[in-house]
Amino acid sequence: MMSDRGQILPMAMVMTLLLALFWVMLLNVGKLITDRVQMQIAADTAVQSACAIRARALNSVGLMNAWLGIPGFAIGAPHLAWWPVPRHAMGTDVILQKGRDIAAAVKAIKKLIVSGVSEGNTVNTILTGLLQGFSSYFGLAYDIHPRPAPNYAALQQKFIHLVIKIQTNYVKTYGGGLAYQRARQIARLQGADDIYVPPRSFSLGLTRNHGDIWYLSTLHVWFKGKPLPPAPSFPDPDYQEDSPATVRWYEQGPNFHRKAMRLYAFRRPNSPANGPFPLGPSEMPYLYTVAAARVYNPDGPMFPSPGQTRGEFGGLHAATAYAKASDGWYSQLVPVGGIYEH
Amino acid sequence: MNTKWDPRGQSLIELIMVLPILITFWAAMVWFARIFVIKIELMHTARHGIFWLAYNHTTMTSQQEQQAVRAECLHFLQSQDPSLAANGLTITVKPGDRWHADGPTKLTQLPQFFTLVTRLERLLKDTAGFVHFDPASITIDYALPAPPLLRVIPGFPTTIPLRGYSVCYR
Repeated sequence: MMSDRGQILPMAMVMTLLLALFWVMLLNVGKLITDRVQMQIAADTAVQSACAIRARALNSVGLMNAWLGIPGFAIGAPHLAWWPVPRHAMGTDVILQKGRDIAAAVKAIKKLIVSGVSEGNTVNTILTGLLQGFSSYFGLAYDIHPRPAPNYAALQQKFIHLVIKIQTNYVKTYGGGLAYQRARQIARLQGADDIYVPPRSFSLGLTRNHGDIWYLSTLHVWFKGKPLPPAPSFPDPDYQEDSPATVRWYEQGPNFHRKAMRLYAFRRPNSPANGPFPLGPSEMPYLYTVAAARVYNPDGPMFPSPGQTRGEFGGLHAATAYAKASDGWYSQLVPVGGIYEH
Repeated sequence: MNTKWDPRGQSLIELIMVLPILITFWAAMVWFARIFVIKIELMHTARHGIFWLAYNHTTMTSQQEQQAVRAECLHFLQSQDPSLAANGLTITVKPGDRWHADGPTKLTQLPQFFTLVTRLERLLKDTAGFVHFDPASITIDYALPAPPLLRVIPGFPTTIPLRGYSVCYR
């Protein structure tokens, strides 16, 4: 007769083995699920960070655009950019200039009558001398800046160029490289190996307006030795930018309305972040997650459209567009499949 | 004396011998599954807190934000898992650098502009300074008490440290 002693033990051994396998599987699957959740968080925060930095860029660039859009002070009216040179004492140089201008005019008239030869700037010289003589008759004197010092037209030009340069650098760094780099940093801090962002996602969609900029001279007038308030005058040719390549403020480009960005965070099977997992012969699967975010401004686009910025006061729209939407751009997560346009 | 082997009750005794092992395995599985569940809860809470910070556009101070986020995280965590002991939780909040315009935010504040130009020029020269700002981060640590069954094992820790972490620029 067959003994049935110990018959439950083999079954218990099998069950223990199975439980041990289940236990290992539990650890692997648990690790996989937590990693997947962590990767989703990495993608969410990375894309949110990228958009936060883009919002910073748009706010900064918008503010500088507003400065550029102020007429007179900046280039809101590009043919009327004028920093008035403060009033100053008449001084001997003005009197000397007056004498020189009248003498030069007399000389030019004589030469014109005697030889009939007209030099390059004869008309200007004559007109300036006549004006000096005419104004002197009524007790007036004047001088016109820019002069070697103070040269406010040069100063204003330098300032406008500086703001434009800073704006360009903001767009290049914050809008593109920096946003990508910071998004990648955030994803890596949370367990991702790397990120992928579709091409051209980082463009802020802004384009430069091109056209003339004239930096006006300052006219100082003294009546019987007393100074009158400074007045704008014709621009000195040295500070008259008439090249079609002259850059001015930023305005909405063709892709400006595309404000949503999609980002993928991924972890490779051989990533060091996996640690000793998985337990067993298999390998961790390739993990990737996707998230999307956008920048938005509930009050308006902050930048003028190309159609608005035509005409003598075209640049003013750069300031008014900012004033309407100066509360700023913000960023938020959005559904990946949605189409978000500003 | 010749005693005959009586098999009655043998299975019961074997089962009693094996059952503690099975129960131990089963309890360990449940307990480890709970570790992962709590871990995921901590991660979600950290995410919740970090997005609370990212979407907070009020004029709170840094300290007020820290307090508000701690309270929010605690409320969020205990709403989804009341069994977590509040005294085992440590919530560390770093609000990071919030967005603020570098200078005047309205055109009427124009006089400030001159100081800004000077500052931006300096910052442009110092690229590192130009791009330096810190992200916000939230770390939630929880000391999960080990079950009494495992605590008898020599060297087994009395608590298991679990962490949820999230970081984001604002």
